[in-house]
Amino acid sequence: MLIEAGSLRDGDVVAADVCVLGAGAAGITLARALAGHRRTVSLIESGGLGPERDTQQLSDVTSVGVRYLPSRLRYFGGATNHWGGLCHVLDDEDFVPLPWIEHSGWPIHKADLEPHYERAFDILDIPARVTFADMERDTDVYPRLLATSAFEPMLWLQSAPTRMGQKYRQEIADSDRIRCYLHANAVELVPDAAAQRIVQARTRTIAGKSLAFAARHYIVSAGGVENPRLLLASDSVVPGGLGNRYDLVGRYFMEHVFMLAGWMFAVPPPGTKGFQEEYVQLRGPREHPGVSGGLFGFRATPPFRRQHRLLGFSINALASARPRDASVEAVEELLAQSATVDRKTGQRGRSLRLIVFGECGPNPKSRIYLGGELDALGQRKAVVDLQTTPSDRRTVEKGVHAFAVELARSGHGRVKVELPSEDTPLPMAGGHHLGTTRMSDDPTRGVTDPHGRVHGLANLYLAGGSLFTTGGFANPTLTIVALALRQADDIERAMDVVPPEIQPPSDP
Amino acid sequence: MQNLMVGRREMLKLFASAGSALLLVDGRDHAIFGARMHPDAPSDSTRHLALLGRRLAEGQPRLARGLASHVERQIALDGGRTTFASRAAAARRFFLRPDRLRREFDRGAVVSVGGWILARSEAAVCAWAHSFLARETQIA
Repeated sequence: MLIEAGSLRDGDVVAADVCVLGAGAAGITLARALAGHRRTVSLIESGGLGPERDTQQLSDVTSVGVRYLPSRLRYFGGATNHWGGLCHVLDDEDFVPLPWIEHSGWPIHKADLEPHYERAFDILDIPARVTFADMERDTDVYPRLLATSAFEPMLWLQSAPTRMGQKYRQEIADSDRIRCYLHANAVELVPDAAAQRIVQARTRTIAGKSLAFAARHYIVSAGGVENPRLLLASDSVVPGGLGNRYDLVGRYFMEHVFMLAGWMFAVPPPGTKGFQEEYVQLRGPREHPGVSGGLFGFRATPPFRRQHRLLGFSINALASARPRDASVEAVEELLAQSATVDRKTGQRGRSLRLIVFGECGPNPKSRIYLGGELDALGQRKAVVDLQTTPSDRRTVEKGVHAFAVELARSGHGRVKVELPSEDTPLPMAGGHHLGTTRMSDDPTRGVTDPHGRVHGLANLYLAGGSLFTTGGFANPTLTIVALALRQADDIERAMDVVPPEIQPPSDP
Repeated sequence: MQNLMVGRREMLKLFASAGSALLLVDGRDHAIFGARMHPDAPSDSTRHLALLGRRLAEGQPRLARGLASHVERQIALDGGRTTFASRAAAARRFFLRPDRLRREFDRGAVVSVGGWILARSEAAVCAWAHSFLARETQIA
């Protein structure tokens, strides 16, 4: 059921089994999954069914450190209303502690997420998990451009992109168990006097109406900036905010390096008919639904990362018009001279843009905190202090350079590297807000436990990218949905452990 | 042979006035590619390489000079070719062998030239082509 919060009486208290704050990828997934367990859910959404300026402005932040304005959409469906749909699962090594990446290591393994990844594929309308090897098996003309000890080819998968607000709007509107309250802005989570469990989530409409939501379990799924913001703002009982005993809430804010890194001028091996980008672009989507049409890439192998102590990264190639640069002719000439190109075949080189997706190292100094400026609801705005680590840049520089050498060594191309100078920050343009309420077994090292439950609070969970301990290089939505599905199962199992002590419900 | 040398210089002088001067003075990349006016004029492919050589000389002049000298010495060892075409061919034959290039990439003997990651020998041939053209046009 979709309910306008403004239609309720000021001061109403609404009860359900679970209160989910934020109706984006994680929140909608959790609400649907819990409803599937026959639980009643209050799904709280700050916005309406479409973008509205006054609501969107509630997300305004101040940027210090690396200039960064997080891209978010504050209405039903959240960031899935504008995401590109590019997907990839995290790699095994993204979950394990790596000695050369300080603060790395998730408290769960990839195997814990695997079954949920499979379900997430359905939710995001990705028909199948296709790998590079699958595609290669299906053709005898598919040349491996580059597969070395340092790099291995990879394919990106493509969601429609699924707009979860559109896809699930009717289902939620028709649901007996999910009541989605629109234009209800969470302003505080209220714990009991002992600060051991949440007893109420307070919300306010922009028009000034106050509503409270009571539940046996609370899940905050409002994104990597708003999740810590709400915890920090909930300080009426616990100074410094909820879950913040060790000053961890908002820290370890991570994005993704997302940047053009130069050109790849590639020449097909003699005797081959096709080329990777052609195959992926022309045959991939047709023969392998779900494969991203046009984006293939190369990721660093674990041994290469270990040898050079690098973060995760992938170098992706996007077919492009030939650059207006006479030096391309020169490079083509060099390739021809070196006899790796068979001139008789008439094969010409291809120009591709190189796009780097890079991991940002976890850094406690990179953080979200509350500033002094207030929003229209009188809530303190978030300050975003994005800080990079030296490894971020070193990974990109070493990665692109190594890729250039490996490609040249293979005899099939050359790379022109175009990276920003030392005094220019690397572009952080993924629009991914990760790590600000990271998971850990140890309360001194993470805000939540491995289930996403806030340490020290029996019935408060966080969901979404803020749980990530490290970000890998892959776009996070697929993992966010998989994590949410896993959490729904966890919460269902915990449902009867925590005794229900909720406020008496009122009829909305 | 002397006539041939003069002829090449004359050609290069024309080339310089028509286009190469633009290359050297205002840096327009395409200016180096003038019409061929002499059988021994540098080929388009050599001019392409010279373009990269110029970029190397601008960014790392000392390295460019050293690499060009190295190529020049090798050509001399190879029998002291006389025509530009034969010298260029000798340079390419010796320095752009695939096995040589692969060995250099294997051991990381690479040079960044205007962002392009090239084997050291590739950069050397480019540097030589540029130094040769530049020297000839200055003499002319």
